[in-house]
Amino acid sequence: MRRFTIKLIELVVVVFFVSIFTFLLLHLLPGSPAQSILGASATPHAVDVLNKALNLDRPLPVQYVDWIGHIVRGNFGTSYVNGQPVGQAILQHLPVTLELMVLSQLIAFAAAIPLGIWAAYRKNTWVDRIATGGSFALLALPPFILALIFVYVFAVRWHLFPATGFTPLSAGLFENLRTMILPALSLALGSVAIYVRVLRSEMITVLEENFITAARAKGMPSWWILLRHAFRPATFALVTVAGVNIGYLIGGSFIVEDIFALPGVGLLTVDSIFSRDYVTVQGCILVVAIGFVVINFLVDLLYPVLDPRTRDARIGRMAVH
Amino acid sequence: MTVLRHLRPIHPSHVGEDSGAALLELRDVKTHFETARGVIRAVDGVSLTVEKGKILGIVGESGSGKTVLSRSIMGLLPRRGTVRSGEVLFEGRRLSDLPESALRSLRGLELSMVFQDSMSSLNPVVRIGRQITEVLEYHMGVGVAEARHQALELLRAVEVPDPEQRLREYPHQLSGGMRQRVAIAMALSCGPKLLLADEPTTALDVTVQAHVLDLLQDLQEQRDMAMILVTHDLGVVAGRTDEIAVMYAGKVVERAPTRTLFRDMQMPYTQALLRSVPRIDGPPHATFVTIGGRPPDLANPPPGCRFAPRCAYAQDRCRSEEPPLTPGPTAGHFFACWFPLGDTVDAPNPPDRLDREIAAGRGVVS
Amino acid sequence: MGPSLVTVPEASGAEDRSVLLLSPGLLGEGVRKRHLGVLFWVSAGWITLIVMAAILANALPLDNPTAIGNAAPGLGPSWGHLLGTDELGRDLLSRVVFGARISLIVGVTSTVVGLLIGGTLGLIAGYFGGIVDTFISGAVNVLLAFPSLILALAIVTFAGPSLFHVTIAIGVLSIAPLARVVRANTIGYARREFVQAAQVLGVRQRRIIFREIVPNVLPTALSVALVTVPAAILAEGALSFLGLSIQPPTPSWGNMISEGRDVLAKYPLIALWPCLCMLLTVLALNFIGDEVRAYFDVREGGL
Repeated sequence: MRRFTIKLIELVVVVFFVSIFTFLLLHLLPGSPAQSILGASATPHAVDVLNKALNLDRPLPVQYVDWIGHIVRGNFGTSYVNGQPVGQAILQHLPVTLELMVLSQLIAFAAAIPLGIWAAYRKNTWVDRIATGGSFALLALPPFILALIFVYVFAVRWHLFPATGFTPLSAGLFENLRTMILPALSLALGSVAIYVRVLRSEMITVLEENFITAARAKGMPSWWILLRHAFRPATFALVTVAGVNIGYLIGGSFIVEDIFALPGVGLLTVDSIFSRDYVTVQGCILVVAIGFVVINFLVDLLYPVLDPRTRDARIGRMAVH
Repeated sequence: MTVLRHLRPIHPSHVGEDSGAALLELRDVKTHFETARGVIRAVDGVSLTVEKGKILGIVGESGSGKTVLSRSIMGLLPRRGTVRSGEVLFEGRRLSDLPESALRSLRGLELSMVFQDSMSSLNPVVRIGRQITEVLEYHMGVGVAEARHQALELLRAVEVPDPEQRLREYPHQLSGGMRQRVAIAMALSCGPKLLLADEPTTALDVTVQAHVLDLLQDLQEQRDMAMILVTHDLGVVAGRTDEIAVMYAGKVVERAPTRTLFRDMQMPYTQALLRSVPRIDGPPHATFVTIGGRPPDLANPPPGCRFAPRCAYAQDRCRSEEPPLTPGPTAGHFFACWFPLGDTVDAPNPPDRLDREIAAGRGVVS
Repeated sequence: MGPSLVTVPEASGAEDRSVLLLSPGLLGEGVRKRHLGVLFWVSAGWITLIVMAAILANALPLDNPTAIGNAAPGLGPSWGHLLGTDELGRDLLSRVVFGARISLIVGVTSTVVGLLIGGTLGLIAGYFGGIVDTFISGAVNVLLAFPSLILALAIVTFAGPSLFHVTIAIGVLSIAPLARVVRANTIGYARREFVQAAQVLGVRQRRIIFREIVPNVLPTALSVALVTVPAAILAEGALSFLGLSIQPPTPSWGNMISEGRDVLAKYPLIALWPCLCMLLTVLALNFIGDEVRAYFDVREGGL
């Protein structure tokens, strides 16, 4: 319970600073924010009106409190480019991004877990070398390059999947997946590389522990030992890495959505950047950043579930490694 | 305990060599490790036998090869870089002939092991109950409910209080002594014919050591199980074994029935070991007697007798020729020494007080 | 920032343990070599080539990378244009070389910024501990709370797309991992006897830090920085791809890839060359950094 409270306080503090930073972004703009929002063709009168409306003539802290007040009530402002409420736009675009990320992680885990376990078990054999070497190479391939490769091979050359476009789930699962598979793969491969490396490294360490030898002494078969004894302790690091990886995933999804024209939050943000729709950009960044913080918080809460040693605060920690 | 005996699968009669009553026989077993530094000869020609229902004690300093020996018997050595020769025969069957799958069916079922540090030999993230029942379910094909029932029985047999609660707990929630009992329960769950206890009490408090050793002895008697007790402490094996083998630098340097060993030890190393055991009835503030020097580098053992550099009685011959294991004055007594203690050369008085202790059926310490 | 450095907290929340994802060496555990193999020299060779080409770009006999209309669009490789031409007839080889400049400048500069600021912060936090450490670590944690690309995106969007802003943004990103590593290292050394001896002797703090701690922390910090550069290159590539870095017609690998993507079906080579260059450069740098780190580890392990 105590751990939870500490983590919660950390969460609040971090969210607070994230909000401050996002709030200040608008003030990074050269010239007055109002001017930038309205664009170069704005009349001085319009700028004045907006200034008053946005309270831009008030001191910063007051503006911030105002802004936060609106945010917590769900009012992310209104776009001055298309007049749409930002909150609504984000909500509309969110499901696509979520589907993309979930799909990519499912693929990543499905591939990385068996590969990582096998590479650790058959350390230094050709399977291991391919897995390790392959992961190393994949780490140099960012999602946008992978996306282009996939588009070229599977869409341009082989016409298997569409190069761009999105079909929502409501139109049918198969069609939806057809548009999502290439983007999800582009994101997944980078994650696979990381997960395989971490899992392999952790498994190798765990497999050298005494309790593994003891399990062998009991005559338990290898697959049992790998899955029931070795895998569990190795997941702790994997979970942590997965949590941090979501950050890179978010960044990657922005680009992937742009390439494949998937109507997610990433595409919304990028489009808004180029149409100078700064209010929308600010809203998107805030949502994405806070979402990331919250996800990591939840991942942190996962530890006592996975590792029984963290449940008992009073017992001194015994090292697995 | 008897509830387990009748559940054991009937072994198909096997065609094996007839080696008499010996349950386990080691013939010139060698285990060498290939490393960057050279070949480490951890176990360098060990021959032993253990008979059904008997207890063998293996005594040696750290680095003597006793742990590698126990791993060699169980076949738990790393796959790469290990060179093995010699034979391990269990019930007449050559273990080196058996494929890994057959060895797996032996381990846990007929041949099992208790490790030194129970905190590291139990999986910290798996519940105690599961760690016991998995052996029962896998080897004996027992169902989940029945396995749990048997696990409870086992915990009672090893005198763990409140066994229902313990089943649900994790290793870190138990004390050291209780964990070791759990480890023993795990090892005994399928009613093995031979139990290998590798320094089972070294990591425990002195007060707990005696209890656990007594427990082991009781369980061994009840099940008519053979046991190998590996330790560095002569006091541990004094009153609790039928036979003792003393190891040094990968070889057995003296081997005898327990009483014979204590009464009539021949190898100076054995004597030095005995002298280094602190006596509870000694004068207060007595200094510890230690054996000077360190065990030899097993990649480059010295020529001749390996103990010569540290031996108080070493002569020239000791340093150039390695003494073979020769039979001693009594039956079943073997030792490897050119100038054994029985000779008139500076023969010190055997500790007769020890004799009386053994006759009274008590160990020396703990 | 690319995923080159991830910190794995211990299960109980005790001192963090840095899991450097690009270690151990590519050749697997147990291969502790003190000499550097073929792949290392190949990587070093490529990096040297790229760096030299970038530095000497103006002096080399290259076509003007932004001149339109000199040649037909979409030509394949030929003697006149070793890598062909792009959709506007510009020579691809010279574009790639000039693009290398951007990537390298941003990669190195941002890492240096991160090293200087992050390293200093980590040093101070690790050495002084206490409330100073709490503040600095807290700030670093807030920085890390942002998904990396989003942070850079935010800065560049609102400050305006330019090379300078991109460098600053990516530099800010690299502060956190470097600060963490330096801090962890400093803590290790600050407790050692020779530091305590100097403190007892009354040596000024600043002297201690510079004479005793920095030399010990520097090798690790540099090897981490070496691995941070390719991550920075990838980050710049991504931002550039989105059009948020240096603007066309000035070529950068990222915006070349972006332009190439528009004509992917017709002229795939246009996107291929910059992709290949970026890939090889990042791979080579990763490999070198990995080997360097393994090399240093060996030396320390021998102590």
